[in-house]
Parts: sequence; structure tokens; C-alpha cells
Amino acid sequence: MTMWNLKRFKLLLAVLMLTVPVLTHTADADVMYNTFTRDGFGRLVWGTQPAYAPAKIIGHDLYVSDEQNPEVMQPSPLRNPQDVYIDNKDEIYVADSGNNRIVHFHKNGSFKRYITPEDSPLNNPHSVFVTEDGNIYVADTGNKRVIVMDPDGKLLQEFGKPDSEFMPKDLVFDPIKVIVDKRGYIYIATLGGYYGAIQLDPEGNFSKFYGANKAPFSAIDAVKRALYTRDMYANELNKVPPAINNMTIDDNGFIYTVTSGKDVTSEQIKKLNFEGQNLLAKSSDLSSVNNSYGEFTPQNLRRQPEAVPSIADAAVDSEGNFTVIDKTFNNVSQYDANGELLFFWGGQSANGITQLGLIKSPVSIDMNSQQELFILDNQENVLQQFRLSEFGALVYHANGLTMAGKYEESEQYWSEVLKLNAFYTPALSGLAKAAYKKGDYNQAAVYYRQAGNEIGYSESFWQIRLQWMQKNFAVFATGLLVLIFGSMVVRRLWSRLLSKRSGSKAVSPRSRAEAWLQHVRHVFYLLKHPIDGFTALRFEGKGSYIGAFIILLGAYAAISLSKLYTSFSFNKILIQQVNIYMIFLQFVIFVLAWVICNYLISAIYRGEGRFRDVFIGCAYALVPLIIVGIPLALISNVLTLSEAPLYYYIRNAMLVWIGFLFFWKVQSLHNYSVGETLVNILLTIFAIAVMAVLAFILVGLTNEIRVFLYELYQEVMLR
Amino acid sequence: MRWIWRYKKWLGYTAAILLVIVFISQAKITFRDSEGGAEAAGAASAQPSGEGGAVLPDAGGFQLAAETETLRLKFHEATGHFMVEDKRNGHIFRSYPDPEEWEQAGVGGAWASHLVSPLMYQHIDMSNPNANPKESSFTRDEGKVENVQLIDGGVEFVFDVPSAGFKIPVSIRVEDDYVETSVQDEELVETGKDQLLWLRAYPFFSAVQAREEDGYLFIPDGSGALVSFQDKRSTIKQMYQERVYGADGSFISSPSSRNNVVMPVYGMKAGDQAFIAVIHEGAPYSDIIASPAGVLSNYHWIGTQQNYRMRYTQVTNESANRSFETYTKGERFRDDRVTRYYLLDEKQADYAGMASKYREYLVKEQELKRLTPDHQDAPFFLTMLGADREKGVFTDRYIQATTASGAMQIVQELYGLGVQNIKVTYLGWQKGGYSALGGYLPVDERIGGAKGLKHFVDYAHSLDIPVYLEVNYGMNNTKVNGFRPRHHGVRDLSGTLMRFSHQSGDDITMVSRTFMVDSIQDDMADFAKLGIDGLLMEGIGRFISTDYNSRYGGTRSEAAHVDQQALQTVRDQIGGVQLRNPGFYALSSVQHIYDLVDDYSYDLFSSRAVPFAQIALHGLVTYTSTPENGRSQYRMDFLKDIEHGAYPSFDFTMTETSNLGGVYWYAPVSSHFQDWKVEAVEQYQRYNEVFADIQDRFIIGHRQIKSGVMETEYEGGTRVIVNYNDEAYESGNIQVPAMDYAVIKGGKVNAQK
Repeated sequence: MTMWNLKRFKLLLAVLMLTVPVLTHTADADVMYNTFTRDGFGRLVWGTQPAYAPAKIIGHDLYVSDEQNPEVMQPSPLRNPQDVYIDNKDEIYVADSGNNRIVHFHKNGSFKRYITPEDSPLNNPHSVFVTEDGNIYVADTGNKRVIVMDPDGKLLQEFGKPDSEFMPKDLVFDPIKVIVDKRGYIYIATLGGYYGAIQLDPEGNFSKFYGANKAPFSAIDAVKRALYTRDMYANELNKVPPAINNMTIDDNGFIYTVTSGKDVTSEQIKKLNFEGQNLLAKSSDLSSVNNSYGEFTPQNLRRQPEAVPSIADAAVDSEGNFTVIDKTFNNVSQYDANGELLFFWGGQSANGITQLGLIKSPVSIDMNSQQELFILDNQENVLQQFRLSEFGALVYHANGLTMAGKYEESEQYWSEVLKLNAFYTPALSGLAKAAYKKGDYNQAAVYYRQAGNEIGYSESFWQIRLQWMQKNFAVFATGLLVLIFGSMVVRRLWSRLLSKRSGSKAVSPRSRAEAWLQHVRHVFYLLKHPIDGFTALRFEGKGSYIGAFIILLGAYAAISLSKLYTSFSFNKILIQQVNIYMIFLQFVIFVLAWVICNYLISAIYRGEGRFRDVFIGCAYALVPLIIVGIPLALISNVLTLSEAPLYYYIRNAMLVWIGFLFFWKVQSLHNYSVGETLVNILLTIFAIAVMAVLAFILVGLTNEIRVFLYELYQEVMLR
Repeated sequence: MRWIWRYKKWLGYTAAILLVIVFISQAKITFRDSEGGAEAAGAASAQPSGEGGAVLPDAGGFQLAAETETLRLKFHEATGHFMVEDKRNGHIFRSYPDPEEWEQAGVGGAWASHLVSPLMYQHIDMSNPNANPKESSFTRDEGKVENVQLIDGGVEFVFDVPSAGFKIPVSIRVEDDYVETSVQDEELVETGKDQLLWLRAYPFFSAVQAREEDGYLFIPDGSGALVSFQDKRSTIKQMYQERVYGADGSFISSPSSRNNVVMPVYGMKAGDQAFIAVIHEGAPYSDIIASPAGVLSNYHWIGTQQNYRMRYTQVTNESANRSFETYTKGERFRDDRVTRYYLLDEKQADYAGMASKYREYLVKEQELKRLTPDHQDAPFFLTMLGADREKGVFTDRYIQATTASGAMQIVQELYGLGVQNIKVTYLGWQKGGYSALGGYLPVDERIGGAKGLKHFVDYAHSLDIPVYLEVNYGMNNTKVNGFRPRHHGVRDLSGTLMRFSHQSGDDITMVSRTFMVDSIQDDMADFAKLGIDGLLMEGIGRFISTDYNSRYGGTRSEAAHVDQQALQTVRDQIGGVQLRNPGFYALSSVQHIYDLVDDYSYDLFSSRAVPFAQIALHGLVTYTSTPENGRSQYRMDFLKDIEHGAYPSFDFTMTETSNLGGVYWYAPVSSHFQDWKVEAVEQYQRYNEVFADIQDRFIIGHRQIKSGVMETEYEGGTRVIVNYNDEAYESGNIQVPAMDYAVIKGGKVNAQK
């Protein structure tokens, strides 16, 4: 519905607080759904041109001749169909499970014939597969068998549960999917079969289990395994690996397994070679790969909170790009051969309406040689055909070149894509690779940054830095020498100067401002001699609230600055995503929680520090954030990911230092032994946790009371 | 008796179960059923024949009631039915299903008596909170026709249904080439405790089975769509039902995934007999219903459903999100409901003829005038964004997209490249940029201020280029003009404000119509001072809802009326009005329509989209579809524009599009002027070649030559043939390459490449 042109307003991003039904539905011209992609920062790019446009509906006009009266044709729609398969001649087969038959359509979608073996009727067939020589394999689920028919539908062979000593007794043979590879090996997925797919050799003998998933293993499981006895653990652990519930095979013989379930949130798609290794798990060069498939929008999630995508099926094209359908959110997501998202789209027709392009319950998907998609809907009981759009075709062409490593060739196509859609991330990545290949590192860095690819950005920056160093080597080297020599001279002069002036220094503060300055200056003493420094805070009045506030402000500024100014290589973030108010809030809560809880605990635990000491000490302990954090953020801008260990070393050292300062702070302020300090800190952390829970409950209850009083008031006033 | 105690537990259980059974059998447990469900159930239980006591009116019972030069109206007093004879060709239009095919009606029971009835309705007993709506018809409830009186041009009478407690006054008149049915609200009485929810008057007007015949239902879905009779009947049985001018925000409507209805029209063609119906009054409270054969009966029928009361959400606790759904009690929507059926002559009997007739209607009833081209070239519609905001580190960051001088530069460059007839619309010029809604003056200093804008306008005027400014008074997040959400926002019947929160963190509230008009009125003088030529009014001309704001609210029809007046004011005081895909009620004062819908909703029963809206509008109002640089499919949509007679439009910014990724409100995916400059000019030249000399011509014919090949015919003989197929189209001396078009002017062929 083009009520509110999606291309013009970001209304979809609006959070509809209350139903404003007149504004909720929007879609593009040409298609009834919205197409999305994601940028490198995980943000939704919406209003993307559609990749696919609906072409037609297939299978809504099926008829059979009436049994009593053969001339009369009775409508016989598909009933709960489960699988669609396109053979190498682009002819279409649908496993029409509810009608116990296979429906065969011509290339153009018109009806060709029904296939049922005459002497051995099908019962709830869930899957159909056609080999190159035209033999038809059917997973005849209800009869617990897989059958092979010749192209005319004559029964050739049938396989039940394989008779093998390796076959587990508890395996229930309910075949739901069958595929055959080029060698003639048969792969059968069974309902709930967590051993993996059953692989049969061309003669039908059991060969092995193929592509089994791993059982989920969480941190809690690890704890249990460590603590429990063997028997207890065995009792506890009724977890089995999720079963493979769909498979597809591409032109190169790679088998894609589909796994779904409430706990399956990654590796829902695996691309397996003949040995069963997952090739999608490997990350490609210059990009980080996300192993989770099935995309959704915040709107999807608002309608079904906490739902996870449940992938039903996948289709693969000749270049290895694959398309998956998700039963939960009814979205179609497309990925390239590396698993990078290209597009996703979705939209639902209202109840009682069947519209071209909108799918209510996708169960199966396949693709023909023209890259046309066929999606089977087992609620509407139709097959929908989608055709590649102009934009989609352009993207596929360009991405194909990039995948083949023809970066320069891909450049003009990606430029065209980017012209049509300035926010299309794969185009930015493609152009970045092309620029890098050509040696235009500055441009590459810009594109990589826009694409949110910190690894590529860092690589480009490494090159830029190298070039700069090479160009400026002479200046650089001289500069370095001057710096070293100069610093030696300056240091000598400085120490001479200091020794002259020493003695005239330590005077009592004259004005308040000078006192604060003194307090802040105490920082440097404290950093060198932490224990003495903190003791001085407590007993010699070296600190003040004002001084502490200044330092805390500095620490907050340091956190904000390092968020804002750390190099993109180490800080993959958009400037719009930095919320300094949120940082402020978190910072204040942290400081207050620590100060209050630590003070309370110390007060009952023989601590000698006053509240002011705890507060001031806390501020002083955060100083490394300022004196290390800020320079580190600045320096990160000349570092690349190759120097990441250095960066992270300094950062972690800073954190450790802060930790030690806190420790010494507690120890000196309260005059504790090491053991007492440890106990105090642990108790403080515990107290913070308790306080958080209390605060949570208090807020909740107060709100309830507020609502109650308000309702009471309304009741009194309005009745 | 002690043994009894031993079994007391069992006795207790038995007694409890018995009690439950008695309760269930006695209590009226009713299941709420959606209307569609009820109808479908009716069809399912139907017997396969057209009797069940239902009889169509006998032909002998009709008496002449009135006559015009072209039409003859006959009335059947016993049943309240009528028939109209078209004297031009002898065609007869009946207010009931085609009697010749009655034997194969395919229904029995309730639906058979509905089919022969002049009136269907739904009512509910409001005194009983558990009552369900009851659907019935005049014939089924054995009502009587009373008080029949001849009036000027026709007849008036009352449908009296004592069993339901309704007296429904109806009049039927003929004038020129139309017959008009109307239900006057004033004398409509609900005598019983039941209240009327909806009414369908003469829903089966001209219903036919037409198994083999060439014909279709025309539905106002998007730009218009056809439900063909010829299509092999789908095994999926669904109907079309949509509210005219879209959902009413104050009421519950099952969420629709279809296009909004922008035109209150529908039609039917069977063989060479065709009519187009226009909902003349009461359109904002009407639904259009189309039922292809095989859904509820074997008849194809199409009509209107007049709504009198609707369901809404009564909130009981806003913070806990507690509410229940109920019907509006008491007051019904008080509009007269008038539908006109224009009967088309044989040579006009297709959708293009229907659209032409609707154009006549627009000219006559809504005072639209044939436009006079102000330039020899076709227009080029250019919108430019001034600025918008995005989230910044401390406060929102203001992103300049096109300053006034930047806009001047864009216009200058385009003009220099030969695009002379530019129509400029400037967006996001207000203080705070595009996402500041509701208050518009003064002009933001950062894009040049009033002075800079005036300078730009003066420059444009020196090239005879008009400048429009976009405003949206329908939503407010700035609280300018004294707007207070609680006082001036749209509310539903339970008092809930219609608002949403935007990613900027602002609450955006829908503004009550009367307040909106006051704001517009207040700003008029300042707009006039800027020297601009008009306003693109967003948030007006659509999104009308029943507003229960006690001071500023009104009914949906009143909202539509307020819109018309507001637009008239703007037109009178500033000069021009542009709208975005408006409801056609708002057309009287409009110069140009942006984003006019050019597609249908891809319903399975629809066979294809037709450019009905475009045929009706070409030569009256200029229109554009999606901007070219925001299209879904570049070539395809270009061809569609050429077929539909739509002019080119572009959304441009001076800044690169990537700078606008984070802004709150503006969202084109590609707007950088430098990227598009050359292509825009090339594209424009193609449009110009086709449209320059037919700017004021009406479209008089449109047809599908073969699948994927469309022909549009203009007054004066110009024909445009568009070929959407992957292979070339050839016929006689006409050749159209694949995915291309050809223009034939006065018999001469100019193939375009």
C-alpha cells in the first residue's frame, strides 16, 4: 500500500506507541513487501529496491475429474504441500502431501501431470527429488520409506529403514527429505533424526550418518559437568543435537543442511563438502562472517517478542548464493556464497486475502536456472514465483564478479548500484575491494569505513601509513633523532632547574582555588606512592570534594572521548550511536553504587574511612582513565589491527592499574590488612548486587502503587 | 444411609458435572465470528440451486416511474426493486441478479433470499453485551415497502422491517444518463432495541454469472484493477472489501495489506453492457465490496456497504494496556448515502469509458477544469530537501542538504541543460529541518533564511519557474502555533490520543482538523510574503478519521469537508496546491499530485491493474508516480509512466546521499544531484517528446493489445504503445522493441529508442 511513500519518510522507524492504523502499512510500487538489507554496523537499511518481484502464482487452478462423472472437473487445490523441486529442465515438482501425490508442472507453471505410483500409493509424501536422468525420488513419510520412480512414474526401488549393524535401535525412520548427489549417493533426513542425515550408497546400502549437528553446550552445562557426579550429569543431560530438517544440494555437489529450533540461533545453514565439513564457518578475507541466518526487522520482533527465526528451507544458485525462508517471521533472506547478507524481504497479507508476493507460511523454496525463486506456501496452498528485479540482477552480477576476484571489473556495476542506493553495503564493500586492488588506499579506507568493515579499514590504513612513512622517511628519521637528543637535553636542564627551585615550593595553600589545585596535583604523588597517597587523603586532608569532582568529570570526559575518538579499527561504531548521556548515567550510577556500598560495608566492617574519603578515593583511583585512556585513544589513530596486541595490552594494563588502585584505596583508607581488603571488596560487590535488586523491586512496586492511586482517582473523579 | 457418605466424593463430582452440563446447555454461549466467516459459512451450507423460497421480482410487476432522454426507470412496488432501460441501445440494468441464470445461482437458504433482496443489513442488540451482530436482508425478514410516492425524476418509499425494527427511507431517481439511489438519514428510524451496523442497498445491481462472456468487475484498488470473468476460476475463494479513503484511525479495522481506496467508484462490464457507480455522498463511511462468482454464489456482484456504527477499542487502563472492544453505541454516522450508477453506451463500455465518465463527473460535480499548459514543454517536477536533523553528540545535528542558494544552483544547471519547464517544491526549509512538523515559519537561517529563500524564489520566477513549499500541518512535534497535544490532537471515542514516538524521541501527534485549519490560516500572510506559488500539503487530503476531540473534532465526512475548504483557502490566498496521493474528494483545488498510485494490490482474483485514476485525471491535473531516483525498477517504472501519462519527478539534494543516512525523517536512497544530473535530463527529454503536445489532452482509450503490450490513446489521435515483454512487438507498420515504447502521432510512427 503506497499510503505513505516509504522512500520518502522514515515512518517505519517510528515506534508506534498507540495504534495509528492509518499509518502502519507501507510498501513499494511493483511489489507488496518491503526489502531491506543491513549496513556494516548491523543497522537496518530499509527502503532498498526490491531484489525480486513476484511473477505469478502456480498451483491455484488444479482440477481432477470427478469419480462418478469423469467429464466434470472438480477443483483439487494443493493441500498442505511440503516440498518444491525444480529439475535441470526447469520443470517444477511439488510434494502435495495432503493429497498423497506429486504434482508436476511445466516450466511456465502450467499443470503437467500428477505422479503417484499406481500399485503402491503414497502416504503423506514430504519431499521430492529428480535426478539428471529423470528418476524421481520421493520421501514417502507416511509409509516410512523412500521410493525411486522412473520418469513415467513407475516404481523402481524402495528403501525402508536401512538394515545395518550401525543403525541405532532408537532411530525412527520417518523420512522428510531426500536428495541425491551426482555419484548416486542418497541422503535422507528423518524427522527428529539427531544422528544426522542417513547416507546410502547408490545400491541403497547404509553408508554413514552425514552432517550431524553438535549438541548445544552452555556455560552452565560446563559448571554442571565439573560439579556433578557422573550419574547426576547423565540424568541432567537429556540434550540431543538438533535434527537436520531440510537439505539441498548445489551444482558443485555441496550439501546445505537446514537446522531450526528454538535454541538454534547460529549455523542454521551449513554448507558441507563430501566429508561433512562446514565451509560457511570459515571467514573470508577482509570480512567478518556472521554464522546466524534468517533476518528480521524490529517491527517483526515487536509483533512476536522473543521469537527466533526458524529456517525452513534454502535454495542455492549456480554461484553459491543462497536464499533461506523463515517460518517465524515469514521473511526471505539472501546471502552470497560467503554468507554475507545481500537482501531480505517480507510482508504478510491480511487474513482472508491472498496476494501475489506475500506469503503466509513458507515451507519450501527452490530456484530455477533463470535465478527465479519458487516459494511454497502451505497455508495458502500455492506456489509463488518471483523474478529477479533490475536492481537484484545488477547486484548479483556485480557480486558475482567480486566473488570471482574480478574486483576492477566489478567496479562499474557496483558504482551503478551505489548510485541507485547510497546505503547498499555490499556495494560499498565491493568498491572498497576494487579500490584496494587498484592501490587507491585512501578511497578504500573511506569505503571500508562506510561499510563498517574495520578489518578492511585497518588494512587500507596500514598501506596508507606505509606509503606516508616511505615518503617521509627522511623527515621522520631526523625528527626522531632530534626528539631523542632534545629530550635528553631538556631533561637535564629541567632537573637542574628543579633542584634550584626546590625548597621554595611546599607552602600552605593561600586561596581555595590553590587548595583545589593542590588536591588535583596530589594525584601525581598518589600514582607514584599509592598507599601513602591514599593514606594522606584520609589522614592529611590532601583531598577535597571539589578536587574529586574535577577528577571524576575528567574521567567521564575520558570515557566519552575514547568512545568518540578511538580509531575506527578498534572502535567499530557510528558517531550517532554514541550516547554520551547514557555514558554519563552509567558512570554516575557506577560511582554512586560503589561509594555508597563500600562506605556502608566499611562502616560495619571496622573500616576507618569516612564517607568523604571513600568518595574522594574513588575519584583518585579512576585517574588512569584520564592519563592513559585519552593518549591511548589518540595514539590508536596511527595504529592498525596488526598492532592490536599493543593497543589491547596498554588498555588492559590501564584496567589492571585501576583495579590495583581501588584495592590500595580500600586498604589505606580503612586501614585494612590485605585479607580484610579482599573481604571488604567482595562484600561491596555483593552489596551492589543486592542494592540493584532492591532498586528494581522498589521501582516496580512504586509504579504499581502509582497506577493504583491514579486509577482510584479516576474512578472517583469520573464516576 | 452411611453408604452414601462413602461415595460422597463421587456424588459431588457427578453433581458438579451435571451442573456444568445444564449450565452449558442453558447458557447462550456465543462465539464471536468475523463477518467474513459468517458469510463463508452461509455459502458453505448452501444447496446447489436457486430456490429455497427465494423468488426474483416478476417482470410484469414493474411500472414506469420516470424517464429521461436516455433512460427509463421502472419500479416494482411489491419488492422495492427497480430496472433501468437504456434507450440508446435497449440494455436493461436490474437492481437484482440476472433472472436468466437464476436456476444456476448456486445457493440456497439464507443467501438465496439475500440475493433477491434489495437491501442487506447487519444489526446488533446493544443492550446485551454478549450479543453478536446479526446479518440479514429485507426479503429474509419479510419486510414491506411502504409510502411509495412518485417524485421528480423517480420514486421514493420506505423499507419497513418490523422484525428488525428499522424504517429505511430510500429514493431512486434517474437523471441524464445515471440512476441514483439514496438513503436519507433524517427519516431513518431504529424502532427496536437493535441498532444498525451497516446497510447494503441494492448490492446485486446488475449481478451476472457471465460464464463465458467478456467482462469484469472494476475495483478501485490502487490505480484501479480488473477482476475478470474469464479467468479460470481460482480454487481460492476470496472477496474484495475495502474502506473508501482508507482505514479510520478511530476504529478497529482488520489490518489490510491492500492499497488504499482513493476513488469512491466501482464498475462492471458484461459484454457490451457496462456501468460505473460513483458514491456521491457518504463515501467516507462506505466500504466497496466485490465478490467474484464462486465465492458466495455463482454471481459476480459489486456494491457498497454503508457503515453506520463501527467497532473501537475502549481503553480501561492505559498504563496496564487493558481494554475491550465494542461498537459505537447511540449516535450513528449521520450521512445521506447516495450512489449514482452511470450507464455507459456500448462504445464506451470498458474501463477507459468508465474513467472518462468519472472524469465528466469530476468536472461537473467537483468543478475540476481542463488545464491549460503554461509551457510548450512537458513539466519536470523537482523536489529538493533543505535540511533535516540527526542525532548528535550533545544535541541534534542539523544536516544541510540543499541551501536556498544550492537549490538555485540546481535549478540553474537543469535550466542550462535544456529543462525549462521545472516545477520546484522545496522541503525541509522550516526551522529545525524536515523532521520539525506542525510549525513552519520562520524559514531556517541556516539554509538562507527568509531572505535567501525569497532570493531563490525571485530567481526561479525570472525563469518562469514556480516554487512550492512542503508543509505538514497534520502532525505536530514542535508545539508551534500553540499546539498542545492534549487539547488539539485527534482522539478516538475512548479518548486515546493518536500519536506515535519517533526515533528522535519526539512524540508526534495527529492534529485535529479544525485546529489544523486555524494554523494554516494564521500562516497564510507570511507565506504570501515569501512570494511562493503554492504549498505541497502533506497530511491533508488523506488520513481522515473520525475525531472525538470535543472542541476540534468531527466526523470523517466533516474532516473531508474541512480539507476541501482548507485547500481552497490556500489556493485562493497563495495560488496553488500540490498533494501526495490524495483521496479524490480533495481534488477541487489541486494543481498537481505527487506519488499518485500506479499499481494494484496483486490480489489473486484481480487479473491486472488498469490506470483508471490516470485516465480520469490526465488533462485535468498533472501527476507523477514515484520519483525516478527512488524507483523500485528503473526501466519498468519508466515505461509505466509513459503508459500512464505521468510526468517525471526527482528528489534531489546538493549534499551526497550518504550524509543523510542518519537523519530522522527524509529517506530517499539516492538523492545526490550530481549523480543524477545527466541522466535526469536525458530521461526528461524522452518524457518531453511523448508528452509535450498532449499536456491538456484527455485519455480517451486504453487497452491491452496483447499480454504485456499496452496502448493509450489521447484526444487528437496520439497513441502510445508500451511493450513490457522481453521480445519485440510488431503489428502492421508499428514496431515496438522489447521493454520499450512507440508514439504514433496522426498516423505517423516514431519508434523511440
